[in-house]
Amino acid sequence: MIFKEPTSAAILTAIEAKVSTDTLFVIKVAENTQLDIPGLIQDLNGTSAQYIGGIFPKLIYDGELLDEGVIVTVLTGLQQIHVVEGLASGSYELEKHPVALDSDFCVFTFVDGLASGISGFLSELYRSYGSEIRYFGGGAGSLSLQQAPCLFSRDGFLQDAAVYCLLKKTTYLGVKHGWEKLGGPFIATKTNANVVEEINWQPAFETYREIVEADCEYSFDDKPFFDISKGYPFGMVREGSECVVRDPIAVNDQGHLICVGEVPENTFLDILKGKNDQLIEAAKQAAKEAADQVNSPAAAIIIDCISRVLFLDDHFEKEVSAVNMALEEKGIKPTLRGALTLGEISSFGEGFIEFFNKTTVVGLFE
Amino acid sequence: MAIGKSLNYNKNCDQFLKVFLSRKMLKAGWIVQLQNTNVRLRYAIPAPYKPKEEVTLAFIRDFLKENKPVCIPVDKQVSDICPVPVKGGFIVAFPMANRSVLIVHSPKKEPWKESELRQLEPVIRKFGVALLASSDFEEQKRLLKRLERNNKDLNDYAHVVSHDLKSPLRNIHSLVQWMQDDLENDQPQNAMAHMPHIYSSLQKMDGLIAGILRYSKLRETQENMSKVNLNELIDEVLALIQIPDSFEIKVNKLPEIRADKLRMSQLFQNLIDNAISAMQKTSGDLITIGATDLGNFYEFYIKDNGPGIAEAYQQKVFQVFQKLDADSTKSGIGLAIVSRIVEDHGGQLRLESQEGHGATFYFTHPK
Repeated sequence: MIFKEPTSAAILTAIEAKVSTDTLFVIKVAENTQLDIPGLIQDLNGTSAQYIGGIFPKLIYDGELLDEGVIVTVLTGLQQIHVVEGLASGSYELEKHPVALDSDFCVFTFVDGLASGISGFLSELYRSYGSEIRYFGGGAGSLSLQQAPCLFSRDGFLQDAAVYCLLKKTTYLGVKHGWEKLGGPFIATKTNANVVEEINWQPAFETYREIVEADCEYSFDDKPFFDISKGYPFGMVREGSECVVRDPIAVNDQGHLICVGEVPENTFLDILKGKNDQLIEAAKQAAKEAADQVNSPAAAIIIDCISRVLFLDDHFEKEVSAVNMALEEKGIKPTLRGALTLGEISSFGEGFIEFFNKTTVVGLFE
Repeated sequence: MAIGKSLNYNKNCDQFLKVFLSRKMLKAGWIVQLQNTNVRLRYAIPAPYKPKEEVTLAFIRDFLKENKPVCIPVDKQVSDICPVPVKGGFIVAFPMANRSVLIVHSPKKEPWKESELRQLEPVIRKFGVALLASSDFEEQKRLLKRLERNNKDLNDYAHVVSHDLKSPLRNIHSLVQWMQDDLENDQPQNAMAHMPHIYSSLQKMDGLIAGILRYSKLRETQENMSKVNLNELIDEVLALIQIPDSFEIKVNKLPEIRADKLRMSQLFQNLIDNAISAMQKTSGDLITIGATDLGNFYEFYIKDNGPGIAEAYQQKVFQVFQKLDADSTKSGIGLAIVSRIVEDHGGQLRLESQEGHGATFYFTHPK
């Protein structure tokens, strides 16, 4: 369901018509939408609808990028919705699921993409639900990078939080980014959560600048940091798989690089570089990877990083078209819808759960 | 990798294994330690599904003797002894200090090369040394806490002897003197009237002395750790307690844990006794006992729908010989015993209560 000029009443009417005990409504709101979220929560709480929602920089619907609007996706097989508050402090305990779950279950989660402690939350999620089920989700929040309430559920309008739901639903995922190694590996010799303080025992910015300026036509002295760094992210090395991308978004006075997502100390880092064609091809591959496994999905959701839009600019529409085309080629019928997020979440039985940056995650839900 | 950044055993494991699992594309990791004839599961991610007694890797003794890493294909036999679901691929085991072994599950189809194992071995051994330091630090903290508690107990004991025991003794002294006066004045009826007060003071003294004895007899060490079925244990405890007809006691499904059975029995008896004595004894009185699995530990709860405990008194209830009412039959020692048993098993006790809305005692117990 899409609402290009949404009102609480219209959303409520549409949701009420589909309410059932095992139905989850995933509500994605574009950040420029004129909608009273606390009012919507109040209205929805007057029904028996089970829902989670998030505010995202932009939405994607059938190949179109939306700055305003609301998309509601209906997923069946809902078991339970959970809310975790206080991600930054880590002062929460997640209840472990009493029995081992297999790949026919999925955890769908939205996190406050600007909260610290997301990796810690994801580890706890993995600890609770195990290695076999599928994990899918993304980071909500504003493109202004100012932290504010950005998640909602029956528990209210939340900041520094995560919402997650267990679904009995077979899900197929594809994850790719397409960024290529420019330099490295280096060692992140001193880090503090999402701040890389030293690389190879040098101030992080010094090492980063040396590699990037050698490749780039601009100097960091001439342009704002993010204008250049959006094309040169870090990659945390993983053996036998694409690296996990970390987006450096700012440099502080001490020469430390501030990233979206944590970088554990002593991580091997590459500095990456992107080319439009490769990024678009990677997104297509992510869609193909999911589509190759699925039979007849009921929903197709894309979680794509907002910083891919910032990098690809006008070419981003080609990325969405490529994903759509890959799904159509495999006869996938549901309309592709999704959000541009601050970080992407995925794990599908191939290894540990990760919080990605600058990555495309395609989820097909049967 | 992030080795030894914390002196907390679990945090140390979290920090190292998160990076290790991510970098090597592994699905699970756990640490077992050989303790006498048992294999103890010290840590696991994802959280373990099998109770630790079942995590007995037959090959661990031989493996520790060999003292070098191995990579073993996962078959049914291997899968059955892993504490987390493991399908396909390989498990890779690394010997560490303190008779411990780190085991990880790699879902890949190819076995790890010898060179890869050799390359990782010194890193894992360094991690093992950091864990040994964490264990020692935690043991030191536990001993210090016990020492603090023993000092406090000694102070409380001095207080009991100098004040609480002396008070009924003074009462008896006065009452006997009054009796003597009444008898000298040929008023035996008046003298007899003092007798119930003397008995009451004697009962109070008897209760205090019995309490001191009970508390001092609590064993310091956990000599008899074994697998305990808590649902069976609570059935046994309930058979020993006089439960008024108006009470309903609801016991949810509880896990099997590794504990000192006698002391766990004391713990539940005291908590249930405490809940019963706090309630109104009217119809609708309900005590609920249950547990939540929080991954590396369980959290148990004993919840009543009684009058609750005002916030001002919530810390007082855990102190030795502290009572919230003047009932002379109570020693004020039950919750202090509970607190000590929980701490000795490595857990923590807390109370949540709102006056007029019942009370819930929670305690954690490591797996």
